[in-house]
Amino acid sequence: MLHNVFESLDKLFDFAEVSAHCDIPCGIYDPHQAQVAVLTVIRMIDLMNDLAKGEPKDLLTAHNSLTRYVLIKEESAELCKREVRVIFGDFIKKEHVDKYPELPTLFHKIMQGGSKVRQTVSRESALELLAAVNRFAEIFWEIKGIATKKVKAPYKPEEEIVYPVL
Amino acid sequence: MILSVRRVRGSSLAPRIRDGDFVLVSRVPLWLRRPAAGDVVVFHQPDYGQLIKRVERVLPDGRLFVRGEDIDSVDSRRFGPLPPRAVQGLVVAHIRPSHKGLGADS
Repeated sequence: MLHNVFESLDKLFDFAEVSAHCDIPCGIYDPHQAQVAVLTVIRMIDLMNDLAKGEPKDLLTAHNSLTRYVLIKEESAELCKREVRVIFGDFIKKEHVDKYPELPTLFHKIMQGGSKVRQTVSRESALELLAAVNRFAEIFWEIKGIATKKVKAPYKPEEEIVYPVL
Repeated sequence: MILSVRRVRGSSLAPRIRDGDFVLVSRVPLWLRRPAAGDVVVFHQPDYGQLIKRVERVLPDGRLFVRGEDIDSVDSRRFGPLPPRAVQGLVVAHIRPSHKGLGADS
């Protein structure tokens, strides 16, 4: 109520503003990067398997490829964790957790899953992580009042991800 | 600045202080004491203008390390600690819309 009084006063006196400045314009949140990061992890696991099972290459070339896959897998898993952490920490508010009580557990599952796909080359773990991140995306868009659909990504590894219907 | 009203823009102090809230800012407390950790201060920063941040700690040389709550907040991690003279006032009261008062710290 007091706030309404100040709103009215603000119209009269036009109070100066002070900025609680953020680096990125606050309000830009999108789980898509996290989803793409998990798809990348799955793709890297597939490429590692291809390398292990395919035609033997010369040792240096094989090592070089393997190192690159591992590096991208590491980075992508961390990116996924970071993106989800920012949304969970900055966008998700108490009232959202009240409405979706599964959120803290889901968040924890993504954090742990993000580490597991670094420690292992388990495609199954990566798919579990994708399912959790997809569910997180679904809740995120539901909070924003935007419907979602599940579609197969039009590129390898062609797994299903949740997209907003815009 | 004995007492003035400022409207807050941006969310770097959320959930404590949110975009659109009003704050009452006063210099008077600074006549009696120096800014301390936990104070929310209004100051001028040459690159970013009039800012509002929380004092995280006071360095041994008296300069203030200020922070926002948001990880993307632009604060002392970006522009370094503040000289105490840059502080124009302390937030002495905070007015937020009542319908937003869902947070535990409201």
